[in-house]
Amino acid sequence: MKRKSELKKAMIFILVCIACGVVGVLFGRFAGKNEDSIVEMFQDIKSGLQKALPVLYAAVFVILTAVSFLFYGRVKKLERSLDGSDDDDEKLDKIEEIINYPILVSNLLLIASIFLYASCMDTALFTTFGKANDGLYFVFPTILFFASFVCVIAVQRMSIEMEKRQNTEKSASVFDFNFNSKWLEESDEAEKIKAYKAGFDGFRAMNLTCVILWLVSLVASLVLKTGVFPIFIICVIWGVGVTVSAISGTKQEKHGMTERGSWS
Amino acid sequence: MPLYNNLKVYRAKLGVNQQEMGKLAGTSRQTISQIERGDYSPSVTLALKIAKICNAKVEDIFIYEEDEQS
Repeated sequence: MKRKSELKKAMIFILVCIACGVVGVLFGRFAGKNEDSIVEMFQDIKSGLQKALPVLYAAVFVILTAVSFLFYGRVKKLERSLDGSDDDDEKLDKIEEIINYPILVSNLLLIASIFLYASCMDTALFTTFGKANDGLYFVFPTILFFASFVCVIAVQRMSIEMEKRQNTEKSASVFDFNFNSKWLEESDEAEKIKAYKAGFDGFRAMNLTCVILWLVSLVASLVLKTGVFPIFIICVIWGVGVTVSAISGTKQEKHGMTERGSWS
Repeated sequence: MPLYNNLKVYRAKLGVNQQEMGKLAGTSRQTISQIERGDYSPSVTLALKIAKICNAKVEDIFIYEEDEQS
């Protein structure tokens, strides 16, 4: 029975591989035949996006900052409504549930800001319209970049401070370079399990993302001549993720769920 | 998970809220809340600690019931 199910899984795996290969060949032939028009189309899209970059950056900054502060405001309102009654437990559970959103949105703002700032610099240096608009493609994005950092630090600090008010045993500071390790050290068994589960989900998502990005960058290097550097970067991220996970797994096998078995 | 508990009842008997129960057990309020909701099964150590605080046996607070299927 077990062998039959294993055989079925192997057949599905082989079929998916063949289907991916067929799609790859078909896409490759299509791209080969229409290479010039595809390159032209992507260059038009790139040029259009580059021209809209300052507006796009400003819009992303305003929207994500507003959303993170709105989420924080909602949690703060709940915190203010705590009155020491029996209803507090439910409110505190709700606070714990929502407090992750401002942190998530501010992290997304940070990542988007890093990408958009680099894109603006690239446009400022390597396009004629970028060079002609120094203020728009260099000064304005630099101001937004630092403003994003200030907002991210402010939102994360306020959220962590609120978390610390609810959990008085926590003392780690967001300005500490070892914040994550200290926070985990001060967490109890249930919180540690949550952190490990979240880490595992992140690892699985990273693996899938790396496969997709590798395929996309491979096609881009063949059709758009983007080179192998993006593929190399993806492989480095993938390699580090897989290696750290394997080493951590080996440590856990050896020491069990003890502090010595922890990566950090 | 076939693990049920009467922690809320025992906590009420002690007259403490989740925060205070968490402090007594050396754990966070959220963990006490999750145990009460049945969203988290505590370790043996924590279950024994909670039982000691409530002045009861572990099996009085935590009840393991086999699933009908298993």
